[in-house]
Amino acid sequence: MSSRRSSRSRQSGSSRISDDQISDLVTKLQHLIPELRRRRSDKVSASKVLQETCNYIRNLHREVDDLSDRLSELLASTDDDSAEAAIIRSLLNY
Amino acid sequence: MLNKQGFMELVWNNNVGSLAMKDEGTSERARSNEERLITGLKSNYGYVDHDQADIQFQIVPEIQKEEENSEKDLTLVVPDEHSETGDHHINDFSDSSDNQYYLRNKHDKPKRSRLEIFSDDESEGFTREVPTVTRKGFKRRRSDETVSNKMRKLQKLLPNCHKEDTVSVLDKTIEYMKDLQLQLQVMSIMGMNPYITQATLNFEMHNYLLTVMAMAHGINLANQTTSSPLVPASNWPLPPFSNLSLLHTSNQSLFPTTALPAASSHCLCGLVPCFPSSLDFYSHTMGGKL
Repeated sequence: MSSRRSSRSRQSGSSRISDDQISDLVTKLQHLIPELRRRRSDKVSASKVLQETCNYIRNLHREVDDLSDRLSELLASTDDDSAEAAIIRSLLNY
Repeated sequence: MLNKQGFMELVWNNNVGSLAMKDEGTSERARSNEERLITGLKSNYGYVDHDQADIQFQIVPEIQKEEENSEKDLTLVVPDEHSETGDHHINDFSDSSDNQYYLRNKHDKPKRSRLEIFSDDESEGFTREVPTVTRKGFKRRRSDETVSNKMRKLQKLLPNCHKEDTVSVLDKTIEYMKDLQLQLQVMSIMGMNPYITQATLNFEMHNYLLTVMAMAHGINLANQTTSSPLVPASNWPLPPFSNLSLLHTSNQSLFPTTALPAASSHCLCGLVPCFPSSLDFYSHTMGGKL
């Protein structure tokens, strides 16, 4: 009984560290998401944060795609050897 | 459910007298049951690890009770541990030496009442952590499932994320989101304001631009040996602002300002809700990380 109890406590101890880590990361994540940051309340469930993160990353992807299109249009309208063209090219390559 | 069945079978067989073999079989089965449950939970991804411990607590005492009961004579009903944890029901019948009575009682007793007994908060430490099986517990488990679902979705969104564990996925997500935000900012500024000045680009964005250019430049160097017009390759890494001054003194009027009216408005409405106080935010959070 006692051995079982001690092993249990050890397990919960190690898992608590990663629990803390995870909740820390989730709050960090929450602060990176504007919609949740604007809410100003600390009590947002983890699943909500993850859901919003997924949405937000999809949003960011879409915007990056849009901007890439714009920039490539811009690139087409500038001459190839200019410094700005180089910057844009490097941005698009990324 | 199986546990309960096994227990009944065990007690019944005790009555008949073929104790030893059945005893081993059932306890083994019970243990494998427990393991299956726990590993199932683990693979189910315990976001709140508490639940794993909870399950163990729920199951272990029951199995123990079976083992103990099978070891002892059935007339000796109450093991010490359970009287310690406040097992009222069994205490009530501890003086009755009638096997049948005990068995009937065992059979009739619903599972839930036994669990409630264990959650009686009377002894130290042990019972304190034992949860009652309530709707709340089920809810938490279900939300764990949705959380793990979302983690998987999130992982699919990340590039080059091969690790499965939560911490690294969350870590990568944070990094990736910061990168994306920065990339968007730089791109939008490039799109709507071709005259890059030090006022529009803050330090992190500038550094970002430099690193991106360094990467692109490296690729260019690998592909074609013609040196880029922007910076000679020997100059990497550049001091932050020397490159920029070179940029906007060399060709200021290259971009027509009317090139992207739609783009700039688009970028603005895309970005302004995303970055309410973007520059402060970045200088705050990035902290010279790039």
